[in-house]
Amino acid sequence: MNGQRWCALGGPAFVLLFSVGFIFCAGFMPAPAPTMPADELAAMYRDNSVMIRVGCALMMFATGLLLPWLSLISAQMSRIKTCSPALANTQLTTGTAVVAFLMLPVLLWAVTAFRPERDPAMTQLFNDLAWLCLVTPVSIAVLQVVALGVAILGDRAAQPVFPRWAGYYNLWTGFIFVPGVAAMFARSGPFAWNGLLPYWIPFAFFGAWFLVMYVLLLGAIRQQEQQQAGTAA
Amino acid sequence: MTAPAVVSEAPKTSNGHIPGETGIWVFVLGDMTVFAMLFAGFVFYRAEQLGLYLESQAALNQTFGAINTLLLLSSSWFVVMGTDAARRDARALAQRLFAAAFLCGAGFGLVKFFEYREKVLQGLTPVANEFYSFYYMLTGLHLLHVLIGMIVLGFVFLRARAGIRTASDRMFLEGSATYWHMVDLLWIVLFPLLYLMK
Amino acid sequence: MISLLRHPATIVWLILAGVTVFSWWLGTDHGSGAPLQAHVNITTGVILLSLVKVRLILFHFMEVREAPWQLKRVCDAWIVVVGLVLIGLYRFATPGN
Repeated sequence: MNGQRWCALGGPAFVLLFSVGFIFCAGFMPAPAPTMPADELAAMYRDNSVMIRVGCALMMFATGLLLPWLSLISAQMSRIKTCSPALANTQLTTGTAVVAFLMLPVLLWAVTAFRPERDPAMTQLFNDLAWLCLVTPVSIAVLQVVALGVAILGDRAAQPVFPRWAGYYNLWTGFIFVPGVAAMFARSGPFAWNGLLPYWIPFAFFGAWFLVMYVLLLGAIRQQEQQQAGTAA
Repeated sequence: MTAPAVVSEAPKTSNGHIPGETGIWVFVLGDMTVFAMLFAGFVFYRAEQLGLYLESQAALNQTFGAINTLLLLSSSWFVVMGTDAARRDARALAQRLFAAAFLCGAGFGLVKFFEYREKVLQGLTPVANEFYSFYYMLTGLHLLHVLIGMIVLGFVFLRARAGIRTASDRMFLEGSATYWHMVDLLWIVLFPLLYLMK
Repeated sequence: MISLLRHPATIVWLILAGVTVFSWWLGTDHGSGAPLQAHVNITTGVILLSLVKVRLILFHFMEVREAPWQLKRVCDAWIVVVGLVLIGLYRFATPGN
């Protein structure tokens, strides 16, 4: 198993570890409602203080695994002859920004659970900050998958690095993230941070994206090895 | 009628011909599925605050919505005829038809602009209530699709001048047409849900 | 120009535009003073009509008519599922219906 395959494992490993931390340890599925009164929220952080921090630790390690994964995607993008280095770099930089913005809410949850006896109003502030940080900065995630999609669709080779449908699939995934911004405006209902659009739909399809891309990346790595074996012979 | 150029003929298997390419259908069906979830979400949340939704809907201008439906339907018709003309290698006609389709799309955007303006001036912004959150989110996402579609139609117009010469020309033309019709199709469901549902 | 108007798509367009105007009339002018049950049936009808329009667009404008059967069935499945979910939620989850 070569280095690239280890990098590829970063994606599914992220989904697994992050889900365990997020869902089972921190208990954030479903998310605490934005309408929850401050004292109830403070009680939640107090009662689950340790498990939330355990979840945060797991989520942080999970998020780190995304960096080799992103590097692999850009490395495979640069094998596409028609792909400008600017596109591969856009994928890498926007993806890295997504990593930073994923680390931030995790850190904020940990900070909130670290000293839960503080004034409940401050707990509420940190909690708002964490959740809005998680679901609203969608523009970078959109750019990341769009850059990848555009690169795949531009591939003119007889044997493309990624199949063409994967290009359209990435463009479509970008569209799914867009409604997340709405969470800034709603405290309840489908547009709130615990609602259908910023929470359930993106999480479901974001998770699926990692698994689909994992299979496609393994295919691209296999193709690269075959081509290298062909030129060496 | 001129004889069709050989390359403009779609590859046909015994099973039929996929318009555009398989990939564009991944996008189209994926998009349709996400919109279907949003539609279902709208009807679901509507049931919880029926009075609010009905009251808010009464302030919408159905005429704007209906005119926009007719504009998109006409636009789709122009694209069908344009595609047909391009396949027959009637390039000048194809260009005129695609230009007409583009103008219908621009008309749709213009009507939406006046509609949004009217609503905002009445104080009905996305934060007014949940109905208006849905209204702006659904129509806004759809408008984004219209704008992207108009850019695509612009390229279709430019490429129609040279005609269909290669398989990738054909794929681009059919794929773009498929996308544009999907934009029309989504509006066809959106319009009755937001504007007419009682 | 005459050949354009004789194209099958023109007939489809005429049907679509006609149904649009009819739904618009159903959803606005008509039934304004009608009892609730009439509203419910009219709205169900308007949703069904819009799905008929969706099928016409898919099969005639988007050329699914000539596509492999798999694509045809997927499109039909979308229409059936969306119809069942929307009308189901509308008729059974909405209070008073």
